[in-house]
Amino acid sequence: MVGTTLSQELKNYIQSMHDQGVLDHHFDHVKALQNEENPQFVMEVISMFCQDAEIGIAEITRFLNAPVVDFAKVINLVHQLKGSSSSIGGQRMALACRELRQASENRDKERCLEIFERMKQEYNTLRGCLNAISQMERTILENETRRRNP
Amino acid sequence: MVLGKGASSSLSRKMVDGVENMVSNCNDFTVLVVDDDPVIRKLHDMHLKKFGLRAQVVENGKKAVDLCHFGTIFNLILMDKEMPIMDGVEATKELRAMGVNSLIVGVTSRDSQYETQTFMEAGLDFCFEKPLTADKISFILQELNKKN
Repeated sequence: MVGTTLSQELKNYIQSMHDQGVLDHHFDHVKALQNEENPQFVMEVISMFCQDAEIGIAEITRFLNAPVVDFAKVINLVHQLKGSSSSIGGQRMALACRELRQASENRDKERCLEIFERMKQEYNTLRGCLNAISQMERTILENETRRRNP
Repeated sequence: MVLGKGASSSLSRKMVDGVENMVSNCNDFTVLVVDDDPVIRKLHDMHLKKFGLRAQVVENGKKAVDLCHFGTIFNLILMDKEMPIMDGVEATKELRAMGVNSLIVGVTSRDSQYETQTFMEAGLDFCFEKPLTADKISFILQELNKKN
């Protein structure tokens, strides 16, 4: 059946993201929360995460590019990004956030900018991965809906 | 990592045998989730639903304090540490000063042992690193059942 093949493809894809270190076991916990009552849970969490992450990254960009950096605000924003990326299983992004936080606490603007670039790259990788997962989840759900309502 | 006053039980103790009992006992417990991150609020809310619990969610410590001040009673409060307006440490201190004796569990992404200890000293019963997982919630609910 097409649906079963897609489910296996999704499992394989998630495993490959684990192998590459893009995702960790926290993503599996998020996936495990999805059920028949909330079949779109994973897609909703991914959408929410990406939306908030982009706002956070835009804000950090603004603060780091200011003539006088407000490191306290940067720390708060990075802290939130670290928390949400960790919770969704984005371990490489969470790690970059931790390093960015450290650089911010040291008030090292140059180091902050360097790590921030890497954090953005990790976010782009994670976002690509999560969007692929979201798309597969959507297709599986559509196929399942069609199967139940021929 | 879990810190707690007298916490000694393993996270998986009684989990297999006790999960059904815990779920049937849980439906009357009231829970408050206090976190400024909407992703975390959504995840915690869903985790709790799986155990048959419905949670109220607020985004900062002041809202949690206000709810309790106006008489809402919660059996369990999941408290984030870093939040705008009023953080988890301040909120926990205020709740305890008001006489709130709910089980208050800190949930933090802070790595520092010192920071976690400071949070505990504000009046928490336990403190976990984010994110919460089914194991951690099972442990919390075991403690909640003991308390009630």
